[in-house]
Amino acid sequence: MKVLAAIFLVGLMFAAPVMAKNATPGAKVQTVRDERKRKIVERVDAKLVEINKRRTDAMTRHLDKMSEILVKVKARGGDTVVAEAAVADARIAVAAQAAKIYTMTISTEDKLKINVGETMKALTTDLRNLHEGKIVPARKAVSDAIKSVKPVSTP
Amino acid sequence: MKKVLILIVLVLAAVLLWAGLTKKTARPQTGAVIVTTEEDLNKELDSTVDDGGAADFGELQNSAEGL
Repeated sequence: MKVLAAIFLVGLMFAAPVMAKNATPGAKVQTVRDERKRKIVERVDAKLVEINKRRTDAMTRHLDKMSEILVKVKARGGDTVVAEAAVADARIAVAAQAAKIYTMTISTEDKLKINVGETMKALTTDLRNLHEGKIVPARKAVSDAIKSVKPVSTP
Repeated sequence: MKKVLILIVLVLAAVLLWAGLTKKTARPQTGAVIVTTEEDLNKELDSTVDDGGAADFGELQNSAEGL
């Protein structure tokens, strides 16, 4: 009995990483029989993750820069309240986007292109909406904050 | 000896001419320091401008080629 339990545990140790890997968004790829198409789907799957990370990393960098600017604006007596709120709001949205996982739902092989396209569209739409809806307004708010710095007239 | 003196005079004249021209073309220092600061901040802000990821979306589109 103990031997059986030991074998089961050892088996579980080896199976767990494989099971975890299959639980990733690419798991549905196994339903694609065509080897060439399967590789493309896997490539797109990896690209979805890569591009989401790349874009959200870039947005985070830009928001960090905006925060740096706001520190300088504040030090020069500018009004940063609105801009700080906009940057903080954008940060929350970017973090949520970074945590998103895009799963390709493949119904049938003949609808592969449509299914993959839908997932790609979902990512690009989300990233565009995030950029237009949060990053651009945050930048505008920082720009307004810079304008609020009162000019010091020198005699 | 005469040649050396002429050379020294020429060098001095050239230095004076250069100094005079530099002073003439130098920008007048006014009280516009804050303008430069604002410009600097705006320049820094410009570094956060991007097109929203057009190239990345193109790359994603290309990765699906062949489906």
